[in-house]
Amino acid sequence: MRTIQILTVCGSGTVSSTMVAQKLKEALAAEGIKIATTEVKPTQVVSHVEQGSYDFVVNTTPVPDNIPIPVINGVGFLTGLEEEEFLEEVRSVIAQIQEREAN
Amino acid sequence: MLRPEFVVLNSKAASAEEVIKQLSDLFLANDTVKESYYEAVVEREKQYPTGLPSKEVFIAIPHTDSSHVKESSIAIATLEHPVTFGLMGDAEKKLDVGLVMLLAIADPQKQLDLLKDIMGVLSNGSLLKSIKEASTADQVVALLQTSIG
Repeated sequence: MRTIQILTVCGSGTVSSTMVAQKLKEALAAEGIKIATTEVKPTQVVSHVEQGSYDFVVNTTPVPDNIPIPVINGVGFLTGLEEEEFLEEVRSVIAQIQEREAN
Repeated sequence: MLRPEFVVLNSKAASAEEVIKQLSDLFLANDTVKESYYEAVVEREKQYPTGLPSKEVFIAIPHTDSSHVKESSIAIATLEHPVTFGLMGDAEKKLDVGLVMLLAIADPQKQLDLLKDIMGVLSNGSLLKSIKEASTADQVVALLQTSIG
């Protein structure tokens, strides 16, 4: 299975997005899913999505409405309060990608 | 990193700006951030707030770009009266926090373990409650050291 490309977004493009990216990498590695992440600021999202080959976005700050790939809010994952809900959403998005690419 | 002199117990700060000022002055006095750090944190907080809910005590983790940081440091304040911060991810929503952890991170990509440890603290409601109830700075440092190496 190929590596899933994820764009993680927070206000400074560093602290929160890196925290979420690291935690997600570990959580998914345990399930045999390999991911690569890129951390950016909200203002860099549109250009990154247009120019890159990202599968989905995980954000802790609002992103523009017109993003053509799935956007998953990562604040509940950061606090741990909605960790399972967040991971379920991530798994379902990855499953859709895999299904689409298998056809 | 986190030193007893970076801990403020029962801060009487009445606003987010005031508590950020109190803690960033400690960084400045110890030369771990640049003069520009405070303004940069406050500006960023307005645009991208950092208040986070937890099962016990709500916490805010103000921070800014590493270009304003000289040496990675963490400061923490327990608040006598809760102070209002915006909710991370939704500046329209506000929450009253009892703890503020000010972060100065010099190189996030090289400090992944530190960031992960901080995240562990954020998601540990009972640890946050113990920090909030601590009566000495040393106690706060010791509590955090159980999670942050």
